[in-house]
Amino acid sequence: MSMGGNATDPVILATAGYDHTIRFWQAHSGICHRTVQHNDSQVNALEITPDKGMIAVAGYQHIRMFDLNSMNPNPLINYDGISKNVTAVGFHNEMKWMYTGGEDNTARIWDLRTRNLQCQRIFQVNAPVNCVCLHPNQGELFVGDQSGSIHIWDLKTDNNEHLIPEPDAAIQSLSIDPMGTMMAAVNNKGKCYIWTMTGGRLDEPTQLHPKKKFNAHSKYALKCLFSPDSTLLATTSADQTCCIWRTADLSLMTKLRDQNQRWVWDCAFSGDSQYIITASSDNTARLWSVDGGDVKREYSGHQKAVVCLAFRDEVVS
Amino acid sequence: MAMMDNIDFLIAHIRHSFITSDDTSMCELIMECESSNNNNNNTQRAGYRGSTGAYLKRDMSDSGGSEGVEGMDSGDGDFLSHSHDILPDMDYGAHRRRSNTAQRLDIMRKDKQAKGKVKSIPWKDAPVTLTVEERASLFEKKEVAVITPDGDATEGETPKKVSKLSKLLEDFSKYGENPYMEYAKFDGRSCVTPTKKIDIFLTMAPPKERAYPMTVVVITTAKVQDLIGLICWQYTCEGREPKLQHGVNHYCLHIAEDDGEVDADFPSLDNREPVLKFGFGKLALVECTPTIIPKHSFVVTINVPNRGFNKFQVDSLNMPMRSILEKVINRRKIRTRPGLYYNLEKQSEPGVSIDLDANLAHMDTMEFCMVRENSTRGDREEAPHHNELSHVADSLTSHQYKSFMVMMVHRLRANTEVQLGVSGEKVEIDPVQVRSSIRLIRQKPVTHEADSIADCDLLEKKSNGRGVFRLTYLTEHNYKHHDFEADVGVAMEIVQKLKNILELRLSPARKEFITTQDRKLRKRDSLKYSI
Repeated sequence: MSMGGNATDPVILATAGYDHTIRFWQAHSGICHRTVQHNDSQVNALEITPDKGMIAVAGYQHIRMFDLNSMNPNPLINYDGISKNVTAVGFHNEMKWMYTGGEDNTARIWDLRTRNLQCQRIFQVNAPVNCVCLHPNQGELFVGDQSGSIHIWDLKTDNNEHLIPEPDAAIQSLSIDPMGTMMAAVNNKGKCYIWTMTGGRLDEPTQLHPKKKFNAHSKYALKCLFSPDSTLLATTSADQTCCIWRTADLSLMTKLRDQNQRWVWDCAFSGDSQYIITASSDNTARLWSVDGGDVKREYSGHQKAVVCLAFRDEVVS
Repeated sequence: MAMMDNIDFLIAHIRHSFITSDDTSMCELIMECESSNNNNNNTQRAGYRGSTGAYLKRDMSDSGGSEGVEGMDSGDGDFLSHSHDILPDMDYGAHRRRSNTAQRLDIMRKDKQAKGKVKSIPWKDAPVTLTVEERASLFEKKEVAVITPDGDATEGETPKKVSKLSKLLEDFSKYGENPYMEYAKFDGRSCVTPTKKIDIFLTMAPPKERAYPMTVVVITTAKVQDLIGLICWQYTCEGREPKLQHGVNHYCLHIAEDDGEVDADFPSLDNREPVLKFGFGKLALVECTPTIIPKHSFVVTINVPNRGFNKFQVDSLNMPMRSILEKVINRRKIRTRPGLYYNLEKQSEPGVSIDLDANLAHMDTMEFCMVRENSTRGDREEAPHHNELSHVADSLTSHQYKSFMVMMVHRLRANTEVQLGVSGEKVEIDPVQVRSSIRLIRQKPVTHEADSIADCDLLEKKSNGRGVFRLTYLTEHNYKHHDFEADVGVAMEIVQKLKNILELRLSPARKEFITTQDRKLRKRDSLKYSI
């Protein structure tokens, strides 16, 4: 497989959702410069490959890879053979493999290398998988499911462990900070859990130590995400807001709300953690300043709810 | 080209060149007949299937080489020797235009072809045994780089990290905001939804450039107003000069000739109509002359109980009610404390709070009342105060002439419509001429001097909202009267007006009438008591 590694655009923003289209935006101007049709289903998750060559689109029964550096309206690769919705997708940082999670109660590893062996691995759990998060050490997958379990899958040793922070409260999202010292999880009761992490080197498995549990939102929480500098944690929710917390003391820094905004499904920080982009059910994605909490750009054009986004930024100095 | 050494390909290519460049379609007829004799349909289809199979196989092995060449090598000459753009219309006899079915098949085939180019990787459940080395190379845990926070002690001079996005945002803001940004979503250039391409002549451009239209691609669901916004947006984006100075309402679209001349015989396109309604491929953007600027502003009145009212001009009906409420609060500098909220009610529906997230357009009214949460208007206290004021005002203006249309009540015949003119000097009763009906008794216009008027009083309020009032006047030595009927409001106004006049003048006729009235009353009372 040849990956078009020569990415020209340093900043990539893509959004998708229920209107069966993926839109690519000029993040700084709010102009949509490309729309790709995703005909047969809604889009559940988006992820840009580490080399910025392609974007993975997780939908119903498929993961499709579209080229980022051409206007090709068709996917380049179609991963299929899955029975239900694919809810999560991500990549090994050297593009050795791709991981996905789905409503068929599995997390999977797909081999991305071209000429080599086929390596496809599967991890079965007992409930539909809502979210999958890869530890920055690239060796452990954290899988959150609808029954409220968080599974830790050590890919090399195949060992796995699981914990249940709150029974019968579906884990909606997991995030590990880029330094691998903290993990956050949010559930459908609006609660947020923070663990500190130790270990996770060589053959030593990661250990989780509960740090804090707090009510982040009054309703369903949908997504949590650490900022690239690990100082902030964003949580989004059905209460139509996105909250930004300081990781140092978990105090609320900003509450991002807009009178038109509805459920906030997804978010992404800029490379310098100064801005955050959110995706909402009001057919709009928004760029906010983290400090001011004000909307800097609106990305409007989708005809239905925007439920996922993929964003890539670079740090210049 | 890589395939020029393949005879089959070359023959097919020459064939297709003939067919596609021949307008008479005779070539197609002859050649297709010939080729369909050579290969029957079945083998053709089998070839197709075989070739997709080859694609799949190749996907798995993934050669990474040119797909086309490999396709040729696998011996699928049949499939490739047929153009994908040409379908022999075998089912319909040789000479027919291509039917909808054929076209649909064509689309399906193209679709399939596009899909053929998509590499498909199915999930394989077969367990793969990995060697220790493979396992190590694929899934080894890496060291996580420690990110040094800004202003690290060892490198005190490291500047604060800036991302590309922040830089772009900063650069972009130097150019200033595009005020027409909200219309960018109607841009169809990057859309997959149906769009319409329109050439727009810009009448505000310098004369040299006026002949060259700006091409705009608009999504078909947009309205004309949106199209104007989109044109303004694109104009600003392209950095055209002179810069647009006005809001979208200051421009309109006219039909234009091919050379860009504005067709002045037709009015501008209606802003509220969808773009799709108009079939024109060329339009001109024209600045509205001040007289034809469409009045798109609306006046909203917000009453505040016991504190008067505020009027606002609102540009769009899409304004959410919440921002109107905020406007009032800001204008009145009302301090909002947490826990103390204000609601809006329609003036006509007291006690029913409206949804603040709804737009003005959904309200069907422009008059609202601001009420504190968990509180009511209490405007009943206000009412008498208000009346007193208007009372004074009325009495001051009551000597001025005012005319009313009322029905005159006759004892024996049908009511007739008359114009009742009331002023400080006199009361005029002018019958309204009804041409069609023949009247035996012609009513004559009558004038009563104000000094001859003795009284005016409301006799009854009917259930149908009409009121009857009596005007009593003095002739020689008798009191006579006219009865009139009008809407209660009008009747009360006339009665009030006349009473004011009488009060101000206090004529002998009036005095005498009052005394006789009093006497009558007393007589009646004494009778009552004497019984």
